[in-house]
Amino acid sequence: MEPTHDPSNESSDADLVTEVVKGDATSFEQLFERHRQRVALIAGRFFQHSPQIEEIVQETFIKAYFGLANFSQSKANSFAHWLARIAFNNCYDELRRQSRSRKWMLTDFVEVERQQLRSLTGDVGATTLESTTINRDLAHKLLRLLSAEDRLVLVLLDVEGLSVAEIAQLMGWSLPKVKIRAFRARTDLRRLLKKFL
Amino acid sequence: MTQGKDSISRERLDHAGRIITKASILSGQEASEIAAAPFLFARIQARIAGEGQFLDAGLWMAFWSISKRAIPAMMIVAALSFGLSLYFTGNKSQPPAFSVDAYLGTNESGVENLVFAEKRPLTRDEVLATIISSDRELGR
Repeated sequence: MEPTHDPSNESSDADLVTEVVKGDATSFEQLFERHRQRVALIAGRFFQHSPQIEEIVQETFIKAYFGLANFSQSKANSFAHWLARIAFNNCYDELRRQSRSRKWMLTDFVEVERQQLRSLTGDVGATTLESTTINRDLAHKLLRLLSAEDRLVLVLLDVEGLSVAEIAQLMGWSLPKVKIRAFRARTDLRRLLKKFL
Repeated sequence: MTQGKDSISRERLDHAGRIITKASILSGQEASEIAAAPFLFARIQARIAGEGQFLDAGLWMAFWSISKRAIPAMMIVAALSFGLSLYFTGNKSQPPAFSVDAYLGTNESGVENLVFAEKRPLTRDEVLATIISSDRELGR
């Protein structure tokens, strides 16, 4: 990976990709600098500890590096969109790995956490619901009880604000699969929250 | 009434679910800090170099590691299928092949057995002897 020349900072992603495919390491570093924050943000949608997020960032850029030749030939989407797709898929794989390694139970919640969730789901009025703050650790703990697919779809719908069609395109799933998964995810989360009422 | 109450609680649960989902994510500031971790790109470069070497030099090793498992498995499958085919073909009654014995009925008793017992064709001398003996019998 010897640098051949120094492309200007105004180069487009497509130009930088072409340079990387030719063997220019500095262009890849520029791509990394441009997109690392977005990739870290995507990883932060699912994981809260920095080593996990750094691992996702690394994996994403490594996969992107080895797939750049195919990407430059296909010219299907923008580099940012393609990279986001790799990042989401990495997060999804990691969530699946985690769900296989340990099964989380309702008994993992201590009484204080149960109380907090009860206040969130209990009949205390819609206005107070908005102002209710919930600890991130607790949110993670609760979402771990969902399947990897459920969690991914909920984040893509509620946090990223993507439509069903956009999710289907991003993940390479069919539209009915996304719709069914979204329905199941909402039902599962609802059922889970009801247990704290 | 109950349906209305259910739908309200359902909406409320969905709303609570959205709050929880949004609460679980990292802020942009935190993500930026993690993305700015020192030596992150250096680590990526090192791993790319390592994996590149593996792809170049380790191709045959990878092939060998796959073959090591695949070849014995294929041998077992082949032996098993051979054994099964032998077992099933051995149990099946063979269709009767053409046999002169069956055709001529040599296993049966009686005159036919005497007449047709001989598998080889009759010689001219034997035919002549048979004719002469039958003529003699008629002459008596």
